Amino acid sequence: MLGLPWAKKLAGSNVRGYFLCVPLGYFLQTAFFQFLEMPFAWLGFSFSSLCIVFIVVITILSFVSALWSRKLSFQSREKISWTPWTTIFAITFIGLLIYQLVLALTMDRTYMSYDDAYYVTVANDTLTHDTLFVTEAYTGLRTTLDIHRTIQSSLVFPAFLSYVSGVSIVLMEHTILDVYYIVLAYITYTYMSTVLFSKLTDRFAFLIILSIVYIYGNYSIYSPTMRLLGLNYVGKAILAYLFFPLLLSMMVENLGKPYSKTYGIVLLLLSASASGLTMFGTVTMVANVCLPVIISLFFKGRQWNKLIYIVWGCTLPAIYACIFFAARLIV
Amino acid sequence: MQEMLDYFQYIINFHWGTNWYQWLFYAGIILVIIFERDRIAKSVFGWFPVLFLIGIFNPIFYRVIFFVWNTPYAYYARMFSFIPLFFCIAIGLMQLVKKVKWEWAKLIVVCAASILIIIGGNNFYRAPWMQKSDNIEKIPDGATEVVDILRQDNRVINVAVADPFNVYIRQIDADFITPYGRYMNDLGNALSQEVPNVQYVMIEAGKEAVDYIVVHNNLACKESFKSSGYNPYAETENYLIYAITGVPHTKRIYNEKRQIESETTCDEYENPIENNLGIATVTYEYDANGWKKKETYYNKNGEKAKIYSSQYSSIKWRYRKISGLLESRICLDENDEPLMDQGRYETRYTYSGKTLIGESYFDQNGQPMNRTDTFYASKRISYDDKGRINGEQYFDTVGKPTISSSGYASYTRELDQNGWVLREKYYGIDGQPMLIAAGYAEVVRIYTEDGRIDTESYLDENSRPIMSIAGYSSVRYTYDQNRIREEYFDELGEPVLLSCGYAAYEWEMNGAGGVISETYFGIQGEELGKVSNERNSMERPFQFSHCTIGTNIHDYGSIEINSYVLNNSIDAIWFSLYNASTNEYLLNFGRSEEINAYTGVYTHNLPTGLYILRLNANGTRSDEYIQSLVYMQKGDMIQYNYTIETFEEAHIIIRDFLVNILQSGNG
Repeated sequence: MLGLPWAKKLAGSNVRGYFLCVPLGYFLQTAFFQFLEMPFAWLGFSFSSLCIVFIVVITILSFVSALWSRKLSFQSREKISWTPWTTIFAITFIGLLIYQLVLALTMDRTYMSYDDAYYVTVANDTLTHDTLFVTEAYTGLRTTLDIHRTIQSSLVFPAFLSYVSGVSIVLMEHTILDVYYIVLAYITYTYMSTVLFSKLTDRFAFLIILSIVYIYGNYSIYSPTMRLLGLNYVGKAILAYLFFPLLLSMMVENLGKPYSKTYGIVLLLLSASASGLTMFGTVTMVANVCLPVIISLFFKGRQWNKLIYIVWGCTLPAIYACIFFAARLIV
Repeated sequence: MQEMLDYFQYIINFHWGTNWYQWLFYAGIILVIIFERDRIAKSVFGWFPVLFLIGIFNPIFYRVIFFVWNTPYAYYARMFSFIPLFFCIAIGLMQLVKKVKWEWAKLIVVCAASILIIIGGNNFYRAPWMQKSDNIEKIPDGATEVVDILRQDNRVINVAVADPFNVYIRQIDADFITPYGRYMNDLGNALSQEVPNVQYVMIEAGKEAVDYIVVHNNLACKESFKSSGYNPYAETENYLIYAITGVPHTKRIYNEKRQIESETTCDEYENPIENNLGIATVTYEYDANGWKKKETYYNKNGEKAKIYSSQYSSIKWRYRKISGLLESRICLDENDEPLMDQGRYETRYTYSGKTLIGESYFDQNGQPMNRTDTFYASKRISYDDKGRINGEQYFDTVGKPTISSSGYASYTRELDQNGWVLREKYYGIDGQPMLIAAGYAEVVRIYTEDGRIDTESYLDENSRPIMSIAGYSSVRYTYDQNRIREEYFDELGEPVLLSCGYAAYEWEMNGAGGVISETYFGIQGEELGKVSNERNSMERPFQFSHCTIGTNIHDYGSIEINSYVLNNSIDAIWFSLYNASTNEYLLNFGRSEEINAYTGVYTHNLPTGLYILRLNANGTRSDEYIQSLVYMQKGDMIQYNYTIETFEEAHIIIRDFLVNILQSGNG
């Protein structure tokens, strides 16, 4: 719901909009979580108070988004042209997707990554002790506030999900989020396909090739395959396989259009979400906004006002980066 | 430049491995750049990855990333995560699919592309570490069962577990305390063995205040624990749980915030005992930010105690609010009154950023005072560009330079890449070089390749050679196996006769550092005299001259000398044969790896008999012949020395010792 009004304003068609609103809504939600989590952690408030305030905020925002969305309509309605070959492509892609989802449910590969030992434990400490970043993840002893980590709200967002759902953190991160993020990723890739390809068959062809590339892309622990199909609830993984594909796809769609303040605001909120995923997010957000914007100026006319997107997309990461490095120097 | 290029090549190989994806990526970018009609899509999925790669593979980024992370190859490799690698491949291949008009032909092209990817790639789900999960939560089978058993203990408990359970235990229940997490320490590695060393794990777990250990369930493991007198607290299909009992241990109490409130050293019967510092219990207090602000010591009777090495009963700290840097430290007596420790009452610290640059000393009223041991009230510390201390300046209570107990007001130091001192210069209160009591203002050193001093020279205020009060301007060292020679020279570099009558001195050591002989030489190098140390030289007609049977007391205990009854505190028994005439250890083995740590401290030259080798506070050992019951402390060694003539004698002695040990039920 959070993403729908923005999708209606930015997406070129209804089909594109529906696939955009889901991942966009997710990241807008985590952006607001990031805005709240840092001050709550710094001021020593409890995790449960953060959850309650966040629920209130998100409820209000969702309500406002729903009302706003009713007043908007998509820029165009796409006419779907479905052929028997489209069915073959679609079934193939869905089969590959189900294959990945079933194996995500049934196969175990968490042990080989030590990040699992840290991420799940931090979330479990947050949930169990009702504190934010004051427990040593490896020993369980109370420690001083880890200021650097407070920037990374993605560490405790799964704890929020466990808090509201009642599901154990282990089940939430190892299984539920594992499957959820794969689905979210492919929704994002479907949005990407609607941006890049006009024919339905081409879109499914793209998704098929991409699925196979992912399944067979296990060439090192840093490959995108490990990010999507491995430990995919870790912040830097979400950044790599979900956030940046969404960002780049939106850039393809919006950099070709005149400057839009709406897109700028979305970039601002997305940049907050990226910074909350990992500190790498602050640095690479800058690169992933600046470079495409600047390059596009050479290809799509000299619309210099698009440089303002750099301000929208890089301001918050710059602030978070300053906080991070200041904390490193002082603490 | 070559080093940088080689490093880039290493990163690329490190990231991509040997499969085809690297080439598919490059091909994808080329296809996008050439064929993609949408200019924005071309810039995002064609030019952007190219520019990103140029952005990370260049000299500037190379230097920046090395500055931030010293060994950044893992971080470099992570940079690839932020390039749309797979999308470039897929979108590139789609340029070929788009070229085809008919949909059945598109299917063929997609199949061909898929085959290309499958042949050139590695199936993620066929990786050797991929396995069917034991349960929906993807944690090892039986892990939850163990956690449920441990939860029955309602206390906050400290649990040490075998690999890979260490990764999961706090994921399942964050109420547990653990001595290690994903990176295991020695205890964790020991627990993870198929058959852990029972005595070792129990003692180590006791030291780390562990309440329970969890090991893998197998017959050999269970038998090993049983033979050591331990039955499992609980057993599951995959794990055995043991409570830490029967060994001296540290008992911890946690406060409601899960901070350590107190630690008490207890014997195996839960009675508080005093450690080698003379304290049984330490209590801790924390400030609002969680930093430890006070530590107080108690004896086994619960009364405030003084640490052996000093006289304080408590230490108090104060920290800076935001940074948490230590701001002051003060020692207190039993009445919580400031106490003088090492010449001062309170120490306050000054920083530049996070670097300590000064210390100031204060009396019990908070007024600046000159330390009674070093004679200055504050000092300023300076560092070289590698962050190593390269100088100090000393000041009095009003901030003026002052002469310290070392005889100078400041010094500067020059260090080489290994951190060895190449040059040290001393200054007076006027900031000018000054001669110190030893007769020089500057010391210059040259080192051998293995870090021993080759030459040490003394210079005056103007950096010219000067004779020190010892009677020489420089000394040269020569090393020849166990022989070290010192030769003395004057300001002109000529050999000089010291006041005691020699120009060079050589000493020979045995393997344990005892001096066997000392030889004195004249200016021409002629031998003036030699002194032999009979005790250390052990000249004997036969090849084997000494046999030692020793035991390392790991913790407290007692020993009855007449019957070789040794208690459970023994953690190492070893035997050695030492040949005094060749300074060789011919036979040196034991049942604990700690044996190697003690090889050098045998006083194997003692007459036959039982000895206790006390571990002193400064790390040295002093031996004492045992004639009656002795009280052991942690780190002490028991040694029974035999002087023998033949190898056969050694066999008999060792055999008899082992028989005694086995019969007594120990070891």
